[in-house]
Amino acid sequence: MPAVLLTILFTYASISKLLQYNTFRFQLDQSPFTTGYSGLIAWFIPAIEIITTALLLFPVTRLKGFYLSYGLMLLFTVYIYAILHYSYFIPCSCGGILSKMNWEQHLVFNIIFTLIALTGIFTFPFKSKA
Amino acid sequence: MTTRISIVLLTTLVVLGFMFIIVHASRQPYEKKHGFNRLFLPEIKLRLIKKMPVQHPLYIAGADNETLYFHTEDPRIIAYTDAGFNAIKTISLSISDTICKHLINAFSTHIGYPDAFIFAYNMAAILCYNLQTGEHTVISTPSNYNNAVQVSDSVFILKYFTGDSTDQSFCKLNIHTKQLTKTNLLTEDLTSSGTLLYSNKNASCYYIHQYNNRITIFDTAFHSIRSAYTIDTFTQSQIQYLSKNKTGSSDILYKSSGTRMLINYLSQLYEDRLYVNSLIKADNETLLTDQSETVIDVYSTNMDKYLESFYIPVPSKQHLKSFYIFNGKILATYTNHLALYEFSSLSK
Repeated sequence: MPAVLLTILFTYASISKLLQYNTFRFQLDQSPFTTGYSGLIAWFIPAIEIITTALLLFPVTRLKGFYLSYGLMLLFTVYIYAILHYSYFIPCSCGGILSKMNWEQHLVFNIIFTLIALTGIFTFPFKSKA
Repeated sequence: MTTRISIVLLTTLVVLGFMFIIVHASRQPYEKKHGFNRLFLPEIKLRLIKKMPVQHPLYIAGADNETLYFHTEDPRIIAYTDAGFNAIKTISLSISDTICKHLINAFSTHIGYPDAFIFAYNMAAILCYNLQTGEHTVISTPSNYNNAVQVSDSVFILKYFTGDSTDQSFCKLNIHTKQLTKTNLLTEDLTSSGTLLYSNKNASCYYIHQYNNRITIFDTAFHSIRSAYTIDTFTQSQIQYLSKNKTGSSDILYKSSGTRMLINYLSQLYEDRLYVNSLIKADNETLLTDQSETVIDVYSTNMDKYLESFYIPVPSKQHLKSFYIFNGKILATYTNHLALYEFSSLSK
């Protein structure tokens, strides 16, 4: 179940960022933390989300996908926390249905998915020793 | 299991370390010395009179002798309270969901009771509501705009997008006669953001640049009265722009690029004073790292001198959303509450 939820999330998130590339980059430009690196990040984030999705799809690579999911979701969570606590600007976040959430809801959403990724890591079957 | 715990811990450390560096780097430009000092008079102290929790952030939208008006992040909701600050009530405007979608994050509201004007920046319109009768009209503006100020019952001055190489300019719109007056004057450095204010007393507009220290003062016929400067040293806009030709057109588009540093954020005119919330630390101030307060610089409205500065508290986990000075009091609106402060008189 964690793999399904994370796959849906990252597929949706990466596609929406790529389809609305200009908007996404503009939003990164607005952010005090990413304004200097928006060109790089605008490609890097959807790319890493696609790679994560691909890793989650196959049982052989799923654990790596969970690690990457955890890293990404933790990064997004800490980013929102930092925006709320250390920034004067409150820029827009992402496109699609997620943009309907405010920052606090987004923070809770991210925490839940961070925990889902952790659940995936620690419930993924261990390799049986021959 | 040990391997998994180790990888999770390592990932956590890497992410936290990365974000610490990013946040720290973003604050550095604000924390270095900028070559100017502020004057803080010990007798200017704010005293909290009242604090009121709110569910959603409120923004000052107007005031008269008895009532303070606010807009919310939902354009349909107007809040108001009496001067005694006893209770907050709301008025709902009938705005369709379709229009609301266009307004979200791109509007502000100005109230001169019984009229409420919603500046629909991305709809090239001003939505006018009569709060007593419920009647409303939509007034078209020449194009999208990003600043507007009411200069008389029927006349507004807008900072609008020209669609040509000047990018932005000012215009004057009479919402009753629909008369529109555009100007080619005062177009210098309008691409970056600013705050447009109007002084009834001087019959003058003040455009306070947010990314540099310029203040452009002009009359309602767009004649420049004076160019003034705030006390900081940022004569150049602290924002980089990319200009490029619009696809299939010779029109030039400007997009922000690279680092940006907001300098003069919120501002207000009251009587003979201009109050500017500056985000830049003066050399004689301690670090603003904890953001427990934010500074207001006070200028005379004829901009011949900087007078002094004082601090408005910014409680933990809060942002100052707007402030309004009246009758020796300051109303500050924060993320989840309002606070009314009393402050001693300023320099003459």
